[in-house]
Amino acid sequence: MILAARLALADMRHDAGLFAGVALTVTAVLAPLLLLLGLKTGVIEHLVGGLRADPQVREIVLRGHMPLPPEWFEKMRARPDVAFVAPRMRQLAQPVDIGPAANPIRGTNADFVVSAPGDPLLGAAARELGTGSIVISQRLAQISGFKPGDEVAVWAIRRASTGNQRIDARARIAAIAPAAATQNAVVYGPLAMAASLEAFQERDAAQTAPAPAYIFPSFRLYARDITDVATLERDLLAQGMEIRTEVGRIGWTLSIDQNLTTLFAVLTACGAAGVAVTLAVSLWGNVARKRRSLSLLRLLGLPARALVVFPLVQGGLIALIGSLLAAGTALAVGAMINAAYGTAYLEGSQLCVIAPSHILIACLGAPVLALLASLVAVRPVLRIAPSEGMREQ
Amino acid sequence: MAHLLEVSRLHVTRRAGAYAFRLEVPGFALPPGACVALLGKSGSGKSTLLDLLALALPPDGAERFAFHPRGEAIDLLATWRGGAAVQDRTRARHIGYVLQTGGLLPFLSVRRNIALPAEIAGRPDPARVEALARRLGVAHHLDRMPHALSVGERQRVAIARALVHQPPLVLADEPTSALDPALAQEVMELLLAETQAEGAALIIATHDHDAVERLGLPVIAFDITRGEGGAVAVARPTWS
Repeated sequence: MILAARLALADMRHDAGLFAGVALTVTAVLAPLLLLLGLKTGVIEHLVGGLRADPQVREIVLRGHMPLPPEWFEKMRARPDVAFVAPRMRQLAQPVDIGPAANPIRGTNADFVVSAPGDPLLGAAARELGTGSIVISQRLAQISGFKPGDEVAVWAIRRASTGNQRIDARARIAAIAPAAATQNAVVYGPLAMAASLEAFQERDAAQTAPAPAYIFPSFRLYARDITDVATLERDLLAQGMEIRTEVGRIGWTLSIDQNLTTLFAVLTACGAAGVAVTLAVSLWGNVARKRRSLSLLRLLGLPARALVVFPLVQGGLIALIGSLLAAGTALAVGAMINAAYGTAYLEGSQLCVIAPSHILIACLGAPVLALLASLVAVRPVLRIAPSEGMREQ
Repeated sequence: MAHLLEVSRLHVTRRAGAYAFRLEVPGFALPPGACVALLGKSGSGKSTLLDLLALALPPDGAERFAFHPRGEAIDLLATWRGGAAVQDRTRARHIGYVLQTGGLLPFLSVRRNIALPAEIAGRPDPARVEALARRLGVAHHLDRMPHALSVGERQRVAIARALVHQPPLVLADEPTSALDPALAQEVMELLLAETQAEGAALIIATHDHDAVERLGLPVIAFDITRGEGGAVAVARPTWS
């Protein structure tokens, strides 16, 4: 077998021009396929990556109000397709003031938004949230001049017959929210802080009865992935909610991905069929032309099954060389495309992304395909008789 | 001492349409190291007999068709009944071949062509390749490809290749028919001398009556009778 493989290689070296031609045919089919796949990957990664990077695409927004008990939030939080859910407080009661803890007289007006660790809107900053720790928006940081680590007071005011009353909460600024989160002045704080501020605002100073079980009017909900938005939308609509999502934009992008994938699969199938037929014909032809040599080898005592190695080795090696050349060509042209058009079309991200896995698949798949194609040459090889080697036909 | 080759009542019929050609070999025995010429015109059956001996053509039957290389006993007829591995091994280890023309592999250098039978037999011996090439006067061509050699040089390479694995039997099929007479004589003498030096038996199929006579070789002659729808050839040794 090893001897037969070495003989097959010697034959390839001797007929190098011919075999190089076949290898280049493989390259000619594979290189454009790899490039197309790279372009498709680049464009889709840009589109889908853009969607995935923006948490607001995954947000499900309730229009209007709906009485939501804490149990509803528990149930939603337990769903695997929900990344994060937090209650929204009543709109009118939300504005609070934030001022330095040392001298909490003049505050800056801000909205209060309930958040918690894992809030995709805040990204890494959300990890710092906890009892007595808040995150503030960039806008608020600009207006108020607060930095992470500052001790602050957050207070709410209510009007009573005896004049204005206020309630203070002490907090430490743990982090500043990413710019994309909001353009407003916002305090992101834990639910407990929001609840105590709001409870103070809503209750009359004279009222002493305990607060009833809290019912939230709305929520801030983010799906785990862009592909989860559609299901969540359907379920929430079924609960009678009127909601707004980015499901249309997500669906459009995903369908482009799917259509391009299908298109690419069709192209790949055509290319693979072309490569297989080319290899099969040339290997079969080579066996036919080398019939005298192969029968001589049989006459010299090489078993028939060893000769089968001949087309297999040659086919596999041609395909490997062809696919390596294709990978090199595609990478080089891809780099040129990125240099020429990347910045112009995709805001600097790569237009052509040729993944190592795609190259690996091409460089493994082509030889496997070649081995299958070379099977057409196996039967003729097995039929070569030693007697044919005795004299020229 | 046992004969290297023992043949009796061996026969085969080849058909081409309505035409049938039948070869009968009443019998002969070949001692180790002996030399014999299969002498006859083309179409007389000498190639058919050579194919039978080369395990390249299955006989229809034989009373005895035995080969005793290096103390082994191989029933050549039996190898045609599911003995492909034995046939491959017998061809690889015990038989050397010198063919008419084009018997060299075009994609291997002279060196690798000569070395090939020894490699197939699993006994590579580079030193012996060089020694044989020197004796046959082709040492300076060892690293060239066969197409760069003259026809006579190629036949010398073929002789070296037939002997490299030290086979007890060498089969030569019209080894000099493609050469001009002077060169033919030289190559024929070289073939005889080298096989004798190696102690191998030699069976040469040839139509060169003069060369056989000049070299004084024992002959198996082919008497052919043509009849309706075919011919019958009988191969008889002229010695015994």
